[in-house]
Amino acid sequence: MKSVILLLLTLLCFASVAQEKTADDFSLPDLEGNNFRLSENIGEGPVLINFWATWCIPCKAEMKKLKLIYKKYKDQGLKILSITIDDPKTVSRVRGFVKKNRYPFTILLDTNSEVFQLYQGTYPPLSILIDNNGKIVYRHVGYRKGDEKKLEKYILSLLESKPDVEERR
Amino acid sequence: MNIQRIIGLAQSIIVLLLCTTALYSQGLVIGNGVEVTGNSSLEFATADTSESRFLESWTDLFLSKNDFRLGVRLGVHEPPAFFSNQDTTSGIEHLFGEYRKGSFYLRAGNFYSLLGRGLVLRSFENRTLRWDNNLRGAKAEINHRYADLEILAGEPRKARLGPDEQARKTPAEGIRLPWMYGGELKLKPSNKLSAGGIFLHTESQPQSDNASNRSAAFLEVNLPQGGFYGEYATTDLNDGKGLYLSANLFLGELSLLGEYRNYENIGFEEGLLNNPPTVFQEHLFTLLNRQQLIQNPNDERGFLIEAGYPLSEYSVLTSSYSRTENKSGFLIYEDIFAQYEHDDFLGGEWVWATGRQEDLLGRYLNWVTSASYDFGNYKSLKLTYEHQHAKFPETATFSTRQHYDQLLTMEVGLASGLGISFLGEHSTDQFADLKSLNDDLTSKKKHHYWIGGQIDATFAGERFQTTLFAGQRRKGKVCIGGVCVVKPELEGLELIFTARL
Repeated sequence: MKSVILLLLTLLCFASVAQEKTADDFSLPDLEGNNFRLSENIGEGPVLINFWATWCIPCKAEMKKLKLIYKKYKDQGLKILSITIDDPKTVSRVRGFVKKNRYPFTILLDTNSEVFQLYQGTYPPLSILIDNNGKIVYRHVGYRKGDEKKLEKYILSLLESKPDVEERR
Repeated sequence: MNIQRIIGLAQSIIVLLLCTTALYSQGLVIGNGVEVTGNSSLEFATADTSESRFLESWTDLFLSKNDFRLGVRLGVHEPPAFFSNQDTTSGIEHLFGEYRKGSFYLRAGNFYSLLGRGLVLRSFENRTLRWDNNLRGAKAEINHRYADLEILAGEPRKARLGPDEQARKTPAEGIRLPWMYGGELKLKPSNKLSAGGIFLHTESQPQSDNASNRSAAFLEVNLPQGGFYGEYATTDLNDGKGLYLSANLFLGELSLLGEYRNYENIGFEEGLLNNPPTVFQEHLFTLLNRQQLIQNPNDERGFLIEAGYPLSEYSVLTSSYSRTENKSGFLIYEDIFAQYEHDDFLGGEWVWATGRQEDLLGRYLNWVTSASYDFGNYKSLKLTYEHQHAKFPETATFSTRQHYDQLLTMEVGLASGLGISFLGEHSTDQFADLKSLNDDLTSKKKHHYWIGGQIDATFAGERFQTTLFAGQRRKGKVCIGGVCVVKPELEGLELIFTARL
């Protein structure tokens, strides 16, 4: 029981800690076999990393909304890195899945969930929004209808603050 | 000092460290540019039967500076979920240090690895399945424009314990199997073509005293009109061999997938350390998922064909057929599946799915309907109805029998980060409630019901996530990629609590 109380205390302390953290760099192959490195894509606008899988029902619902958000803000610099954690059993289905659902964003393959774990993911979907300085400004696990509105607010605030960030640089 | 006290002390240090970080630093950066991150997850259930009571927690803490990162995981399993007969454990489960600079990566301590598509080696973690077969040792990776190299050496953790090991006191980081050494070299002459080889040596196993060598060769082609992947693996133990092929073809909007596998004696003698592709449809709905095949890498062959087509911007049609046999040609599993997804003019999302599954026990016909609507201001409603009709042939004990199961799920979004859901299941299966069986193995009850409710909430800037389930939930198999776990029946409360830095 003592260890459980300590654990709960740990959890309470987590809540009081600020959230800003530098996004860990990674390199993953895309659907065409090219290696994609995160650090080479930071600084040109907000970057949204979205972890998903073909077997994840809420992921599909969320990606439908992300498609709309991406179409709306891509010209203002928004990038979406859609990282599938499909394992060797289902990774063959990813290309067809992307094709039939007409996803327009960059799809990356994290076949053994190593980048997912680097970002402390346990269950998909997991969304991480990164600003121009490479800092994580928003993190969201799971998806329920309406969650995309909150995400859109964060994206908008980053797009609006973009000139300031560039000035500071 | 016993293990409980060590755990308590370690957690006190983490509490102090995190509170200090929160009070005296800006963000998460502590002295000398060291960043602290972490997460803690607690899962707890109190129920009417001891097999469904558990208390588990995983607390990860990471310290990073420049290109270095240190990680530690403290775990408590008193007892572990779904394995109530297993001994309780608590302590340090993972400990690692890693260095990442450009295209070079080095990690020492606990790590995971996937070679090829997993015919030779796949170590991974899946918390839903309570699966963790991490390796303890070291691995290095170099990624170059024209080649990728990974080398590793480590002792794998046994993810599922044998009956004689379950009641034994085991260390927190699990029982370790003998060392294995190996790696993968992948050549990429162009972004359309890659090929490579895999080698893995495992030291003598404690049960059989057998050492083994495993090797594989693979080829991958990526073209705009489709792709191909092929891998052939062999092991010198029991003359094992495995072949996996997959091909994608895109004809306009139509996408086609074909997969083939033939696995013969490629499983490990102890511990499931490889996890080759299953080549059957991975079902997303509860009742369909309950009948999925548990993979046997020692004697399986089969194929899958799948077609997907977007009928319009608002609708997608998917269908598949898969068949698995053993080497004698005996049918083990067959699956026919079709799904139609449609977004209506009110913004509602509809899914209709139907499937027929056949395994060694019987045949299952399935029907699923799901609809979800968004009412604005984070208010939403989703209803899912699943129906399954099962039919079993005559056996020495029973005459032909059949039953049906139906499951209704209602999810209601109330506000940002707050939702409730209700779950109700009905079954006419005479074996659905083992407690109510008569001596002649027939149930006293013709109808069985399970009803439960769940609250999901996130707060404190989404750093806290809580799921509280109350009520009854039926026992059932949950499968992901051919690896399954049987979740026991629950009648009580289940709490999942996650916090993140």
